[in-house]
Amino acid sequence: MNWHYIVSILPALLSGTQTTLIIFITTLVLSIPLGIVVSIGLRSGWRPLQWVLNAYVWLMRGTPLLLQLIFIFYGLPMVSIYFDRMSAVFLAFVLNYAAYFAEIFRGGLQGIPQGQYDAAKVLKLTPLQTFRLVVLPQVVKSVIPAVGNEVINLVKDSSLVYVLGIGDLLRAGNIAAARDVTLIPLVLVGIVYLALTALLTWGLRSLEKHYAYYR
Amino acid sequence: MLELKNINKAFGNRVIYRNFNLTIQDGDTLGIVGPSGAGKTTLLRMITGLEPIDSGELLLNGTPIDPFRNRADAGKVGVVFQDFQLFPHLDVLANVLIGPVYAQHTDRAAATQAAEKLLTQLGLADHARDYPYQLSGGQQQRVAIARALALQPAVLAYDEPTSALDPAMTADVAQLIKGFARQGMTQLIVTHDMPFIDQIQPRVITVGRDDDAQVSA
Ligand SMILES: Nc1ncnc2c1ncn2[C@@H]1O[C@H](COP(=O)(O)OP(=O)(O)OP(=O)(O)O)[C@@H](O)[C@H]1O
Ligand SMILES: [Mg+2]
Repeated sequence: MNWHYIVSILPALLSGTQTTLIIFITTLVLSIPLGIVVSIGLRSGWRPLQWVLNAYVWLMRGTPLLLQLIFIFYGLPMVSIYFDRMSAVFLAFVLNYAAYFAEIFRGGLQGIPQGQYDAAKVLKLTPLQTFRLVVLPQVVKSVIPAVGNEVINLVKDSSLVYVLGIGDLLRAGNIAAARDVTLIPLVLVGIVYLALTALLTWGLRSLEKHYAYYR
Repeated sequence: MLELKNINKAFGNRVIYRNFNLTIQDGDTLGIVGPSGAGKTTLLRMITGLEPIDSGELLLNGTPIDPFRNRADAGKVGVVFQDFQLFPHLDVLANVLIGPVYAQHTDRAAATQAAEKLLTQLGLADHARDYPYQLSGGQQQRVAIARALALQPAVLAYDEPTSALDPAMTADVAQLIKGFARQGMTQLIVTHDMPFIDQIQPRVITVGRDDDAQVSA
């Protein structure tokens, strides 16, 4: 092991990690609320809205995220719609992940028995109070495992931004590996991804434990 | 006094109630019995605002109420569901407090005091911090009763209160309902458990004897 070499490429890898984390965090922070809103729309009684949202979810889940990225960044300019690299990334990732989250939350909402809504109604709770105090806390618990899977996927999917030439963790490693003709940067990249997913797995376990106080 | 006047209710072309009238006097404990599918639960859901009425009127102390459409009228008839429908993520005290604190905007300290008193009366004082899954069926039912009573309803209705209980617990809840009756509470017990009704001996109305289950009292 050449420690000297490792130390020399560390700043590049750290900067790449930072970009990866920005993509990861921004996507999560925006796509989870959007997914909740979409899932509520999917369960609204209003047919046109349901139709549009179902089409959106179907499109996002039925085509590769890589295609969506390329479509937005390289395709749309052909019809005079331009996004800078990071905007294209956020748009594609948020839309894509919100669709997955919407499906998960829709399932979670479906799991709440009608009787819970009935109980809330006879207790005079407003629809908003019912959602906030009765429905949402139970849905959160039930969706943690599925959401957790998507969160782990997102860490790895973030490397797809490579095709737009964004300097994420993977690109940083790949540049160093090609330049210095060595595997070490790629191994380090793998280690960083492993560390991130391990950390998230641990966080998700803790969250599950936190919600294990009731059944 | 709760009055049902000329109530009509159908699901599709299945008529459940036709010009149905019923008066529940204050302090009355009334049993509503009838075979499965007669419409007992439907009656209870109509007076609690969970099911719309096709036509007819609900009057509470002479004033028309519409708990289905009007949230201000909800909670006037409290209900203990057949399967209780406690909120599993809330402890016993929070289950009882949710109505007074969030719907009635009662001061939390005052509401807590009232809730603790209710829980003590119902023998649940030691369980205030337990979650529903930690309780027996009979205890869960008493939490459901406390939760309904916390809103100080004019009438407390029970749907099949013995269906989830073993015989010993059935005797307990019969005692509880008799005790409430002695205290002058207005109660409506919907059941097809005749031995249970015999333990309480309330005034009894039978619904749904006709083959087509159209009901009139
Ligand atoms: N939402 C609904 N849509 C259509 N039909 C319904 C609905 N709710 C109840 N029914 C029908 O109305 C009739 C009365 O139902 P209800 O649940 O009130 O009977 P019940 O007397 O409570 O019976 P049980 O003793 O089995 O609880 C039944 O035939 C039932 O299938
Ligand atoms: Mg019933």
